[in-house]
Amino acid sequence: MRKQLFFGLLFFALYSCSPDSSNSRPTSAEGVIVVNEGAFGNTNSSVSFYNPANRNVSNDLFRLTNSAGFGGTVQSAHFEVQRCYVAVQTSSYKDKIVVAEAGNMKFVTEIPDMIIPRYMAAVGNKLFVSNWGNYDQSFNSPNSFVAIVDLSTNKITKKILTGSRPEGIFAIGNTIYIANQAANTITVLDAVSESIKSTLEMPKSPSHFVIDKENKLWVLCEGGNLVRINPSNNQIERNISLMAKSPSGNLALNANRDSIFFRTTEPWPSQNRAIWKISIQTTTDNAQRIIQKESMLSLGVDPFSNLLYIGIGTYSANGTVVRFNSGGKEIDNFAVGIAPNGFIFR
Amino acid sequence: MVIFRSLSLCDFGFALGLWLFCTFPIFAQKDTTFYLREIGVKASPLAPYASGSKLQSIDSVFINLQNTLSLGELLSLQSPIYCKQYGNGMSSNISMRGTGAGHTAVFWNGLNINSMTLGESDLSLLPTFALEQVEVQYGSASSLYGTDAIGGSVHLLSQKAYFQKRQQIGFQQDIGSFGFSFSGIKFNWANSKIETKTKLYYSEARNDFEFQNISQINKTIQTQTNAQFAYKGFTHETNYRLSTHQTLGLKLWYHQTDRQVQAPMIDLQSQDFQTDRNLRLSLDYEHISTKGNLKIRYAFLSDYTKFSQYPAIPTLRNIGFVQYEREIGQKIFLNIGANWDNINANNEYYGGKISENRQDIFASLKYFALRNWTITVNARQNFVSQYRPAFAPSVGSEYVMKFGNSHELIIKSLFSKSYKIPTLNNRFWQPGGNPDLLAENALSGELGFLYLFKKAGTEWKTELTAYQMNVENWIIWLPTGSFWSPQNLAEVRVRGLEFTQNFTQKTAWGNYHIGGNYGFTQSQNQKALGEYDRSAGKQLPYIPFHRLTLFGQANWRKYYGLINWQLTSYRFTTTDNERFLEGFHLLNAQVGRNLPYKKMQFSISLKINNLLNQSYQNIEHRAMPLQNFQITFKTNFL
Repeated sequence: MRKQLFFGLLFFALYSCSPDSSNSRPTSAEGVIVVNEGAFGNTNSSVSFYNPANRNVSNDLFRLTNSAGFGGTVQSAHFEVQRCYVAVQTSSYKDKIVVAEAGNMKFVTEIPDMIIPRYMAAVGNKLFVSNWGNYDQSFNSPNSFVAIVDLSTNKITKKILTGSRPEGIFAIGNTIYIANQAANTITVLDAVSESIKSTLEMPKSPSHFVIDKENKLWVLCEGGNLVRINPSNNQIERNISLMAKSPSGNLALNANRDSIFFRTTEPWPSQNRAIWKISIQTTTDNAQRIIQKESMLSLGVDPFSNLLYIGIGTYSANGTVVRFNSGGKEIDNFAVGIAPNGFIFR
Repeated sequence: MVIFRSLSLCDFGFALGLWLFCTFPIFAQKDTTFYLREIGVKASPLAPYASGSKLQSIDSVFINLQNTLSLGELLSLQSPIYCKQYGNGMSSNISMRGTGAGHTAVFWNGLNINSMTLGESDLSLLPTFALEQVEVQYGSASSLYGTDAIGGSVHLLSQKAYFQKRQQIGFQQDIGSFGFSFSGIKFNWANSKIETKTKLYYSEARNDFEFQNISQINKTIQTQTNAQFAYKGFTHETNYRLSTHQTLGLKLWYHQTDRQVQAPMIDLQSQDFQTDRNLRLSLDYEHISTKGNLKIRYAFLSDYTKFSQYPAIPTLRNIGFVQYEREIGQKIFLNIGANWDNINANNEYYGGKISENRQDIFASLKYFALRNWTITVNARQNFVSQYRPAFAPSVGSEYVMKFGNSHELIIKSLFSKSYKIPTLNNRFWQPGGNPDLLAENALSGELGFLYLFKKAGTEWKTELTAYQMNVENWIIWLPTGSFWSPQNLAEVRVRGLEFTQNFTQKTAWGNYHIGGNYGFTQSQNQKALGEYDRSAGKQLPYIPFHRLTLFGQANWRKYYGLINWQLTSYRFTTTDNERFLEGFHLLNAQVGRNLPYKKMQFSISLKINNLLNQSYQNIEHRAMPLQNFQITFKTNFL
């Protein structure tokens, strides 16, 4: 009996000492914001802040401030007037935009009634959120929409149906471009009248946008095309076939906005992912491969330093952000949250 | 049959009625199962060729008192094994010696019943009521049991038929918190030729327990929704004695669980549901003579699982088994045999039917080198159609030192190589399945000291075991863009200590039994899984470093009591050990009274689970109930 008591006490001592989870609590949201998707069905998504000046990383700031996570996986984040808007997906369509103070990520409110929210763009006082909508029986998304949120009340004022699986969303003046990945179209919205101006036919799987220094809109199509659109008349000016590459995710521009970076995935079972660089002047696929790594999840370019930020990770552990110069030379890396899937540079 | 009706058995009145009905004095009475029987240090039925292994028999009194638990909950209370539940009444994964759920082989009367598709057993689908005997063998033993026996093996056994004239009926009714009810009936009948045993059971729960939602910012108390479950089943066994040397046996077990899949607390609205059905049939012939013992078996196993609206996953298996054992001279026992397992899985995820044959041949040799020293050598060769063969040898030794009449020290050692054939899902799931996977291989060694003390009325048993195991080609699923795929990536080294203590005392006023189990487990991945991976040298997720269970049972006149305490230390939830779940401890207590009335036997007991009202989780954000109650009525007639 005495022996058991001894082991009991010993055990209690061992059991009580959980690992240290304290973390310094920074307050600045300036710098690089890393969106960490987290694993589906968990609530281990997070947003990390990285200060390139002193290389300080603060991970999981929302959880440290609010002692709770976002409550689902995070597809993207958007900053607008000292507020951070985070698109959160749960497993039963109780999806939402979580609104937090930009500085310390203190919870402000949440905007419910989203269904698989993807990306955000703002015009004036309106936030436009692309939503896949609910799946049907065969896992298609026939009820996709854009939710329009009034930023003064943080309420949805209108939902506009789009083509299936709206992904990237981009604002030029009062015009909103939405890439409908499964419908192979772009919906062009007027932000003021909140009505559809036109629908543009696109190559397979349009997904994300950038605007170059000549104010041309580039669309990455994951079927393997890079398309240039003239936003003044919405005409397709170029369609570059990315020969035998399967691009995925977002596009990024260098600081001068005259080169485009994109990411490709090699067919399974290869784990290799590559980053390619292509000039905005090109009319054919002369993209150069500048980086090759396993498990690359995301790509961003810091417009202030012209450095590439690449998110690397699996869903079972915290990920890593690796920094490269624009020629593809690795500079350094830092640990972030689970599955870094996007960057914001402020 | 009354228990198969969908009863609103949360209704106390009905339950009481059923109990009263069951108390009619129909049969003469004599039953011992309600009393705490003498607990002896008896040899495990696994012992003959498991020299050097740590063996544990779960106390049959405990099994009887806790028979509404799942096997996972039972083992959590009585062993250092960690079984993590995905919520109350939900799937339960076993982890023995720091390994994954697929690294424990679960046997039902000698048949590996791990799902062939998932490669593991969900212990929540194995209700204790259906079991008679639970034996645990810690550590690697593929040489004895084939695939999956890397971290250990759990053996669900029937008690041996003894062909003694008897007749016995027992009823049981439980009601508990959150709309829990359990109904069971047992019927045993035997004469000198035939022995039959039948059990029927039904259980359900609304499972609408309250918990603190720690995933929320304001951390409100909420009620769990969408977590109802119901299960039912029956077991039947008939043994027929053909002659003094020969017996024929039939064993049958059907089990079905229907449940809503308890959603994580971040998302209580989830509407997922799951149905599992298992049918197990075994026909055995046994011939025992001075020339040796022969066993022949045919078995049929049918597993079915369906998750929400997705296509079902059915699996059918036909198994043939033959084993011959005999003594050679005075010092050697030899056991040889073969096992043939025909597996058929037909589902949409594999793109059609997968049929696979697995043949095992095995041999065991036990050598009594000295009067007090035995050495056992086991070996098994496995062949899988269109796949690589696997070989598993082991050498074990036990040296017994006696001190006087009542003290005994046994020194055990064991070295073994074990394997796990990649599961059908690992190889054939589309997309992602990787047919080129290698078998997982484990090399392990252990050293144990077992001290026994036995004197009139007193028994003491202490066992200390230290082990190390290296598992190569450990399979991990990794994302590959749009889907996940398994690869032989990790190398895992497990080092651990296990300590077991049992003490039984019979006194003039009653008996008591106290004991405990402690396990220290360091289970590390040895190899980075990528250029920026930080999992090398880190503890595997969801493997607690420490687990301790303490228990006490006592009876005094017609009263009996039981107390259980279990501690589980923190567990990392990510492979880089950056996130963790807090440790927890749970206290359960039960008090009861036997009420002999004329020629019948009744018992009533009250159980309080989580007496200290601890808020805890086994899987991140899967809520578990706070303090809750259960009342059990049992009656027995002879």
